[in-house]
Formats: sequence, structure tokens, C-alpha cells
Amino acid sequence: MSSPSLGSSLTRRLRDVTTRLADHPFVTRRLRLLLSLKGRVPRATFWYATLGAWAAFVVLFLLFETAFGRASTLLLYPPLLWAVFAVSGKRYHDRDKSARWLLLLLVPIIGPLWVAFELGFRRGKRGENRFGADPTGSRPGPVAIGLAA
Amino acid sequence: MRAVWLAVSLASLGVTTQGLIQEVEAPLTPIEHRRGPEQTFLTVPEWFLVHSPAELAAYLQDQRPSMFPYFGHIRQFWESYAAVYRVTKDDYPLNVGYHVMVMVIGVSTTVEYAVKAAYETVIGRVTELTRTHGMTEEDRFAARVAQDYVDFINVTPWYEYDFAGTALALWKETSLWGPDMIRKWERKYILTTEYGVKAIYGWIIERLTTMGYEPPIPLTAVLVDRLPPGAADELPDLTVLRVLPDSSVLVTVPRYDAFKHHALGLARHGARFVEIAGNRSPVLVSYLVPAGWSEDESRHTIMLRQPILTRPATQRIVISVPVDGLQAVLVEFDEPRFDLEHVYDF
Repeated sequence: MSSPSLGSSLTRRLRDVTTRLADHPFVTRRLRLLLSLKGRVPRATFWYATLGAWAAFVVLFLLFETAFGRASTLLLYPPLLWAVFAVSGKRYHDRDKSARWLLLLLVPIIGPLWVAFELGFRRGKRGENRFGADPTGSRPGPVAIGLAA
Repeated sequence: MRAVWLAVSLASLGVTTQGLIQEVEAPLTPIEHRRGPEQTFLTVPEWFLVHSPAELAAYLQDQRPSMFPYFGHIRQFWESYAAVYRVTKDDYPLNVGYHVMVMVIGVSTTVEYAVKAAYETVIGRVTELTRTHGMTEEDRFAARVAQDYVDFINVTPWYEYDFAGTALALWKETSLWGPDMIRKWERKYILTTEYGVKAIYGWIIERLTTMGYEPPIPLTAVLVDRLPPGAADELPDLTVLRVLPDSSVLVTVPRYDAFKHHALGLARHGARFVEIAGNRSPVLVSYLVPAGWSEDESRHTIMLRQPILTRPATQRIVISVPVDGLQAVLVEFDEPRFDLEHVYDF
């Protein structure tokens, strides 16, 4: 009759591993990047996080489709959309703008082009802004310091 | 046809070294009608970008856009380019301009299809699920435009298509209200965006292409061993340029998509090809054949074989045959189970 204790021991061990994994700085940083709406991300982080989220989506999509059928892949949509939204919002923060600017996407033609250009290619505001410290660690230029003073 | 004119213009810069190819006999075709022997190969990936939209257009008539294999088509484009590169790299002069053009259109198509795949798989699929009345007006409009676009690019560079007018027509020809409003407005949004972005991109490419380059001659010169009676009547766009002392005849026929109809017409009348665009070297011809068909049934060199992803019972084969053997191939494959897709007329 050792199964219950073996079962509970396995469960405890699994819980320990997942807790330790979730607390690992590598994982917490990435989870925060993909889930949190707070803070700023620079261009490079925006690109790798967005492409990484899409790559993970494609891999999981194929796995789910093969294993459970096409309908099951719909489960992947909310996490993908949230991750892309969270990273894009933080990129707008880096531009010292609210994530509401993502509503520009609803304007046909110009909207998606402008948002892609602004998020993917324009650098963030130098120095600290209302959304947090400069993620690239650069300081504001002399003009900005003068204005702040 | 995505960038046939651009390619021809680049080729005319002198980046080809056609003279390096040792022909048994000097071409009898006038120099203004000659094209590089490598171009029959390099036009394969280029024409894939006509055949792929054609497959998409046929698919959209009654299927969901979210199910189209965009990534499969990206893979097939690069597979065709890899096959062409393998065949030409040692035996043909390096046509740098054409390779650059193929790379440019390949990368731009890869980006376009990847973005479409992402959008249609996520947003498009969700709005498809909200439909309760089948295709919306906008879905049908998109299917119609897709076919119209394919018909257009078979004979004209893609960037001349009236994308801006098409975007306006979308709003004029479809109602603002009706069944399946979510899908309806989502389609209005994405189709307006697609046509609008293509209008802007096409305008830029057209300016770059026409800047300093002459448009190519839309004709292909063909030297045939004879002009059989009745052939010229059946092919009204055929023009006789010259009759040579040995009774062979130099003619011009329309280039691009129409070339296949003229080549087939001449072949059916028994005319043998001696030169095409000044070449006696291999020319490529593609067919859509049953998926189970094997090259064991034929004595010809199959350069490329691709499944038609949206029609599993069909495959594309690209046959490489010397110009003087083209007539035999066209006649041999002239039966209902084989669909002549294209003759790559350099």
C-alpha cells in the first residue's frame, strides 16, 4: 500500500520543481516580458520576444493540431495575443506613449504600417520616462537634461 | 510576371555573359530577340509567383482563406529556386541581375505570405468561426479579385494592377450592413489594408523598374523548321519575320503566358523548333499531371517535381528538353490527363 505515499511524494516533488523553475530568474524575466503590461522594452527585445512568441505558437499549433485536432489550437490564441499585446504595449512605453496607441492598428493601411515602423524601428526615449528607466541604460541627451532642469 | 520586366532590364545591364555559351551554330535569331540560355531556368521561381496566386485564387472560390498553405508555398518557391541554382551553377553563365531579382521577389513574397499566414490563422480564423451565412459579400469580392489579379499578371507586371481602384471598389460594391457583421467588417479592414499596401509598394517598384530601363519586347522570336499550312491562320498573333533559304521560318509570337498556346499550336501542326529567343539549349516546360504519374513513363528529364498543395491528386513537373525536342514533348503530353502549365520561353 505504498502508492498513496509514492503519489503524494511525486506530486510534492513535481510542485517543488515547478516552483523552483517559476522562481528561476531566467523564467521570471521572460514571463514578466510576455505577461506584464508594466515597464519598457527596447527594439531588440521587442523583436526577439515577438518572433519568439510566434515561433512558440507555430510549434505548439502543429503539436496540438496533430495530437488533439485543429479545434484544440484555439486554446493557444489567448496567450499568443496577450503576449504580443504586452510586448507591444511596453515598446510603446519605451517610446513614452500609452499602449492605447495600439488602437492605431484599426486604421486600415496606414495604421499597421505606422505601428510596425514605430515599434520595430524607432528608438525609445533616452533616459527615464513615466513608464520606468531606460532599458538600454542610456542617459538623456544634453538638450533633454536642460529642458528637465 | 511579378518582376519579369525588372529582370529583363537588369539582364540588359550586361551582367549575363551569354557569349560564353558555346553554341554549335551561331544563332540565326536577330540579336534584339535573343535572351540568355539560363533565363529559361531562372524564370521558374519567378513564374511560381504566378502559379501560387492562381492556386490561391482557385482555393478562395469555395474554401476558407485561413486554411491555405501559405508556408508550404514559401517552401516550394525556395525549393524551385534551389533546383534552378543547382542545375545552372556549373553549366550556365551567372546572371547576377536575375538572381538578385529572384532573391528580392522571393524575400518579399516570403514576408507577404508569412504575414498573411499569421493574420489569417489567428484573426481571420476567429472571424470565420463567427460566420453563420457562409461567405460574406467581402469574401466573394476577395475571391473575384484574386482571380482577376491572376488573369492580369499572366500577361502584365503585377505592379501595374489597379490595387487602389480595387480598394475603392470594395467599399462601393459591398454593403455596410448585413449578415455576419464581424466577419464583414474584418474583411473590409484587411482587404483595404492589403490592397492599399500593395498599391503603395507597387507604385514604388514601378518607379524603380522604369527608372532608366526600356520595357522589354513582349514577343519571343522562334525559328521553326517550316511553317505548316494553317498554322498562321490559327495563330493570328504570329508574325513571320523572315523565311530562310532552307525553308525554315523565323517568326515572333507573344511572350509570357500566351507563348504556350502558340508553341502548342505550332507543335500540333508539326512544326519543329530550331531556336527560341536565339537558344538551341534546353528549354523548360511544366505540366500539371496526376500525383501518381512517374517519370518512368517518360524518357524526359524532370528538373522539378512539386505536389499541388491544395489539390492532392495533382503534381507539377518541370521537364528540361533541348529546343529541338520541344515539339515532341508538347505532342507527347497533349492529352487530357496532362495540363500544360507553362513554357519557360527564356
